[in-house]
Amino acid sequence: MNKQKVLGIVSPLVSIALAMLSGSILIMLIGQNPLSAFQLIFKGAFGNAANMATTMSKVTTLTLTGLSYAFAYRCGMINIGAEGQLYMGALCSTLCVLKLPGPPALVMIVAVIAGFIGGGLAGLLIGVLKVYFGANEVITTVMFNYVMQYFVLYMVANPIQDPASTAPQTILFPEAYWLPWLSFKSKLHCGIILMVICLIFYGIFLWKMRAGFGMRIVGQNNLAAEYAGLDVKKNRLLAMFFAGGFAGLAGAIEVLGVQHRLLKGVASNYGFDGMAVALLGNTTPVGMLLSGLLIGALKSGGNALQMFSKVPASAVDLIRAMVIIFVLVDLVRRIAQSRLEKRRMKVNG
Amino acid sequence: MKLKKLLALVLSVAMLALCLSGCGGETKEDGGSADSSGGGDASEIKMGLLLPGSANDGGWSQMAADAFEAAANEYGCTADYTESVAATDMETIMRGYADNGYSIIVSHGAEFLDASKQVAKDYPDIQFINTSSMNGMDPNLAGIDFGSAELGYITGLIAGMATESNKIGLVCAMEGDTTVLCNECVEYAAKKINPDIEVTVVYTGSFDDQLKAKQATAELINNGCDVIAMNCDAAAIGAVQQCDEAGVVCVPYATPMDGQGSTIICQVIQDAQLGIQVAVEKAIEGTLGSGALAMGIAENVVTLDDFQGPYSDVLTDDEVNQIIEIFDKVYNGEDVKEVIDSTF
Repeated sequence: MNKQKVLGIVSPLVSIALAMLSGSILIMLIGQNPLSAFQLIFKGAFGNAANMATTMSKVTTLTLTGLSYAFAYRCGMINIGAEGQLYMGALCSTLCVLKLPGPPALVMIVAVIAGFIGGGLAGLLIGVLKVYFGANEVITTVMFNYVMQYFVLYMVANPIQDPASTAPQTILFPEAYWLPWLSFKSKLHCGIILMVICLIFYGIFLWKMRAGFGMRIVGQNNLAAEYAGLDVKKNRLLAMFFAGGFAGLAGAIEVLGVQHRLLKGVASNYGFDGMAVALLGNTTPVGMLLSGLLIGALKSGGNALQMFSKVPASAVDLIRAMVIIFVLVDLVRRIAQSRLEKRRMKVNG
Repeated sequence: MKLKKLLALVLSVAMLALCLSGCGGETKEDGGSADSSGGGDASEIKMGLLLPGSANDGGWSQMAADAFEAAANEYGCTADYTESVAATDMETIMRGYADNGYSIIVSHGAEFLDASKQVAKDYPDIQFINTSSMNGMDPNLAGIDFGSAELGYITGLIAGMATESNKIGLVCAMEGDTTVLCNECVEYAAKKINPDIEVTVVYTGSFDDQLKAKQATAELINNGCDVIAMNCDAAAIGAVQQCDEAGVVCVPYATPMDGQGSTIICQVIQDAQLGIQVAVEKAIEGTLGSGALAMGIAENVVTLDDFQGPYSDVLTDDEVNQIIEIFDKVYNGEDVKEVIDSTF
């Protein structure tokens, strides 16, 4: 194994260790025992089958929203709108369950597809605004997040609200419409399989298929891509459709597999956390799976830390943020690489 | 060589982290000091609390956290809470407490009711308490009613007597069942004073967004309301400020707004902290049944502040005395609605 590869593995580990070290200092300042705190986080994330299932369901949603960011990113666009696209997917799936007649199993499958397409169309709209009107996708996606958030709030507080509840949410879906359990006891749903399929598709499409290769070329240099005869507009529209589709699928899985109803705040920041997952994982399939696992475990373990200790919610968020910052800054790799280069320059005279 | 250095760095960081861990304080749990009044069994009890906001928000969430801590200290129980629980995490966190030996699980706010019902049926041996809810209780799920109806009736009397335009505006946060009931009682009492009175309610959707409350108040005033009553926790400060700017009298109900504005003529205060503490203590003692635990004026959970401030003369002495008289009758055990019906 060459030094660069070793560095690629060791560097994120050191970054995580540094983040945990600074997290420890923070926890100590609050007057708690850092070791107990990290034990609680680990136990909360992987302590038993139920906790692992909770973590994996978070990993599923996070990785899909990560894929949403990554797909657009690979085509040279910044999709901040996974949150809104997730809402759109969740809403489309919910409407299918609530309004479509037919056998529940079939309706559920249609609902999953509707979630993907709903999110995809939301992404496509951003793509159209970008390609045909030159609207900056960062601004349109951020704004679209608000549109969808409040539209879903309107829907769950008015036309599709559970009549028996004053909370802004739909009825609890009948069990026949829930995503099947992989493990009933631990409540692990089969959404994780869909997520893995999406990751594999992402890897194959971008690195093994001509269309994906073209998309990456557009992402690296759209002028060169155009010069080479690639249809930049078409690639961008397709990328935004898939980006929105993955986030929409995350929304569908969240309502069909986790919450079993649509409720206010269902996106729960997954759209934004997904950006961290994509960037931490360097927008590669394996990297995003691992970073999804890390952020998902921190999210799930963070709940346990709050539940069973006196570490406040804000401190838990702070620790999670520090892990992301340390890994993104990638201090170790930068220092090591600059030394390697210096040495190389010395050797070369 | 480079690898060795990196390995050394990783190990150093790990060692340092372990050293720091050793230096850290012990994980704190509330109520570690067992109290004689709690008895041996009570100290074994573990209680979990779910809060919608921060435990030190100076308002709704802090009330519950403080009440919880007081009860835990009283009985020597273990008490843990989770702050700012998102709607998507409610069930997971409740189940987490239930699976880890917590025998009393309190959720603070009507928004937790459906999740509580969902989880409570799977854990019949655990006592669940949902604050601010009254209906649809399961055998092991109790609600607490902090005298919502009484709070509304007394507020309605004050506002009804104070208005000259016959238009009263209510600024509230969420449309929970206790808030809706409370506001219906405000309207009932106000219309008893004068059937022509119109009551307009605005739900801002936020317990801490002062700007939204302020804007809602401005809208109500623009539409002719000359008395504003506000019940939206910390956000009510914005509503009071708007009343001050417009010179319109206001009546905060539920959360006290001491010193926040000169247009406050009186406050009807709801001491949810006391109510929660009583409910939790009953749960620890095993005397809390199902259904709603109703508390109100007679239990000092709803109290009436003094009529004071430069605008308090909008009410005559006779009107003030009439309100105080009704309040005293309810305090002494009479039914508030019956008292109002017989008086007006």
